[in-house]
Amino acid sequence: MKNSSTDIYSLYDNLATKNVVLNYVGLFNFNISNNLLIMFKKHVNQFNIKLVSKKKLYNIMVEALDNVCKHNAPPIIENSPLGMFFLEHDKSVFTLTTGNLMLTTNVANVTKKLELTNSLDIDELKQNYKDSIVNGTISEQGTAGIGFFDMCLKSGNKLEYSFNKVDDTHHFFTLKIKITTEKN
Amino acid sequence: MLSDLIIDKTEYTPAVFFSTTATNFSIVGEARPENAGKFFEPIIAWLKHFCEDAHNVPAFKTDKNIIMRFELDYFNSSSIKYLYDVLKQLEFLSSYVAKLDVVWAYEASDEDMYENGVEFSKIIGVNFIFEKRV
Repeated sequence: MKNSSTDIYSLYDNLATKNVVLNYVGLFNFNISNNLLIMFKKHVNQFNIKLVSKKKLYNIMVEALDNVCKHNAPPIIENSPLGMFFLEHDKSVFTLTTGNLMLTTNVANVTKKLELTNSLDIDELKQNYKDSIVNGTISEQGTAGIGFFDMCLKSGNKLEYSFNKVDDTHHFFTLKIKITTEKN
Repeated sequence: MLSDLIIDKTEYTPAVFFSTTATNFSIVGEARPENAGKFFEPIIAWLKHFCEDAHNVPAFKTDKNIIMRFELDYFNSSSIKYLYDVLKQLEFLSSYVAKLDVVWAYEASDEDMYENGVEFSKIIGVNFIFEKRV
């Protein structure tokens, strides 16, 4: 019979096959995000990758965590803005995945931004990034709206994403970014 | 009267030094504040105020040589918009002082930080000096 302890074991079993760098599931806020970044800084040296790659990883991690903190939807159950963060690696390729609830009313807008980001080549991304800095405005959440451009530019890869319907007012947003690093 | 603006460095915000009497201003460290507006708006307000003061002191035009040092390890996408606003204020200030140079110091292997400085130097009308940190 399946119970909660077997659920935890299957989670462990699933993670054990991956090269986990840092995983977190739970309450998400700025302090949690900050602690994850500090842990990353402590652990990243074991991977023997170039400083430029470490910085890119860190940069993308900051943006991805910021997204979860600032765009997490009002929680369904009590006051618990849950979020998920996974960082794994397969040789030189690191995969960063975040997950958070999002209001269904925001899905179309976020999809539009992601589609635009993925449709641009490097030069167009740089131009859009620059234009947004000079002419853009700061959102209610205090963001400049260029996080997706930044992650795409720094990773050199398209952003993978999905939305899963949770209930009538919420979707679960998953964002995955692959980052190829250079060895020392 | 305008007082100096000095902010200590934290894990996620840079050290800030702006003084009415000194000529070396600086922003040094990492910029990924929880609320970028709350952190950067006082800096922009200080520079606006300093611009007004500089406008009213004719001697600044002949005597005041300002060096603004940016030595940033990292900044997030919310902060970059405000850094642009800080640089625009410095551009305004440059017309009221004898000389204003921006020193953009970056870690030797940090190509992205160097490129950010180059892009800023193309759109901000002040002299940029690039300094590679080893």
